[in-house]
Amino acid sequence: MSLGAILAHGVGGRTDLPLPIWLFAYGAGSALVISFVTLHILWRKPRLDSDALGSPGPSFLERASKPAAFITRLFGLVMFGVVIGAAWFGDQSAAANISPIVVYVLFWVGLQIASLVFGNLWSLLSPWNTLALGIEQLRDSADRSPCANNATRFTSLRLAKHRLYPMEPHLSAGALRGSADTRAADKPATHWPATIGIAGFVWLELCYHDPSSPRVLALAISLYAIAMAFVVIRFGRERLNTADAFAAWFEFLATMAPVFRSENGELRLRWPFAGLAAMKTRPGSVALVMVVLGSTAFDGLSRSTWWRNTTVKYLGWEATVVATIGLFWTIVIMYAIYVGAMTTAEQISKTERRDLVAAFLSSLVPIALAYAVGHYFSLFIFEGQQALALASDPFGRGWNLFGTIDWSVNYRMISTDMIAWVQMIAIVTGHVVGVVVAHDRAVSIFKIKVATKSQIPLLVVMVSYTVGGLTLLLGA
Amino acid sequence: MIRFLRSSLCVIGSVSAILALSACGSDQDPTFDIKASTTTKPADGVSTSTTLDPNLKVFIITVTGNKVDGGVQESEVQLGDKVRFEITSDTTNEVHVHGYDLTGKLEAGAKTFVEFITDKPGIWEIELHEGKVPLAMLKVTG
Repeated sequence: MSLGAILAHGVGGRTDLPLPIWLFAYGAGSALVISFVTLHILWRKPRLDSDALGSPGPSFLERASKPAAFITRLFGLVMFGVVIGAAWFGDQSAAANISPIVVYVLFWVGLQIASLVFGNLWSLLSPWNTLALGIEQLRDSADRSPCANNATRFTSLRLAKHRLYPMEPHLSAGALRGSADTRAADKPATHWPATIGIAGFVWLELCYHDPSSPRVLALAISLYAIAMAFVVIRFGRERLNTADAFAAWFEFLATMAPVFRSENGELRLRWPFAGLAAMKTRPGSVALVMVVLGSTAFDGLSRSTWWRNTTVKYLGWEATVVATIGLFWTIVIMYAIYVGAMTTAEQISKTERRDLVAAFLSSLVPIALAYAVGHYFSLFIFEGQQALALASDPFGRGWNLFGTIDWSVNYRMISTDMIAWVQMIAIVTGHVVGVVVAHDRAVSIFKIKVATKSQIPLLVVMVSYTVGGLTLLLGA
Repeated sequence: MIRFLRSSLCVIGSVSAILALSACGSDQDPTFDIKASTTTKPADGVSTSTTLDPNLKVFIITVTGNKVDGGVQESEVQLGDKVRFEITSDTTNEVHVHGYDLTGKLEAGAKTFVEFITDKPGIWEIELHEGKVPLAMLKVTG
């Protein structure tokens, strides 16, 4: 069922009005035109590679970043405590419990949007990361006590190590293969665990028949926390970056942000979206992106009257099974379209498909975010208000901490026209960015003639995703 | 139930929303018509009890064996319309209108009326509380 229906029980159950057909026509039409114009007039040399390096940020930003990071980490820990506490011990009716809204709306929708603007916030908010860091620092200070100089030596060693492995912005086919080999030496971290994690999350959200049950959420979060603890103990905190499903996905999104930290720890600025050119792919990255893309598409599909009427006879676990099949095939179809296009591009460009699949993947990230904004923007605006009310009484104890408990959702805060425009603009912008990034990647890998030809299959994919996304918003 | 009703009235605030819980519920309830007459002003016949309010959109839903007869339908209305759902179920359950946060008891075999003025645009689910069976989608445009 739709996310609205999920949270629903009492509060939501709202779906956006279908996109007006003329707006749809504008959106789809401009996507097509932009795509083909891009092929002809855009730059003939790669530009994003150097743009992705950015320039040093102003010093006040660096100075502000330390306290800001500390506060963000603290906030993440507190929120985690509130959510897990409310989920286990709070009011068990989903509408009176803050955990479903925080997890599905503020965290999953809100943080995806925030990552686009502020960069990789999750790396600071992540409770597992902060806890692991805390333990690390405790251990460091214990180690330090016998010999005070150790700490400084340790830091300089670490810096030296970073200089040994400078950032590799060139995602060219050759570089890709090269870096894969270097990684193979020290057991490469793949994105497969993250893919499984994200798949589990979207399954719970979209397929499981009672996703907003606080008890179920409590169990899911606890199991996930145990898995993350295992990762930290077995592989170290760094491994969270790839093994934590959310760290992996938010890191992809954060490459689009204007602010980032380079590998030697410097805070730098760059043009929005330019960082996509330096996005690092690993084994499993394609699946990760496809699961997110497919889940949003499936969410749109499951809101249609057709889907509702087809599946209305299934209740409880039967409904779960039916939705699981639906989600699975949606992801498989999205996956197949992309890999199919890459196979065609392989024949055109005579480059190994594996390299193409990875090199072009970054162009799908803005499209995945656009889908998410298109589908969940109104939910975020409306249910977000409910979160403010529930913040006053997160555990359902009759508190009124901030005096907001009586706040109700104002469904007219933004007009339906506004929602439709945001949806359309998000999807078309995601498309444009995707096309531009793909073009840049193509000219970075191939000679200009081959580059143009090699992009055509990918363009077909993007146009079909975009039109498909808009069609889902059109409603059935 | 009372707590829920009270809170939902609180939520809706200025809009008068009433729930006629039993078969004898009347659509001529005065608290209801106050708002209706301000939004739309029918020329005549509004006060006669025999004429149905021309601005009232009535949707009839029959539930058999926890399923809607004829499948889940989309009921389209304009923002500010007065709507009434007449629901008959062969089992005892509870009906719930999302967003408007209205609930009504369904007695086996009896008709339940759920009436309100649409003041929130969007597509809203109307479902059986027990089993979460969808009954209808209320599409409020404008």
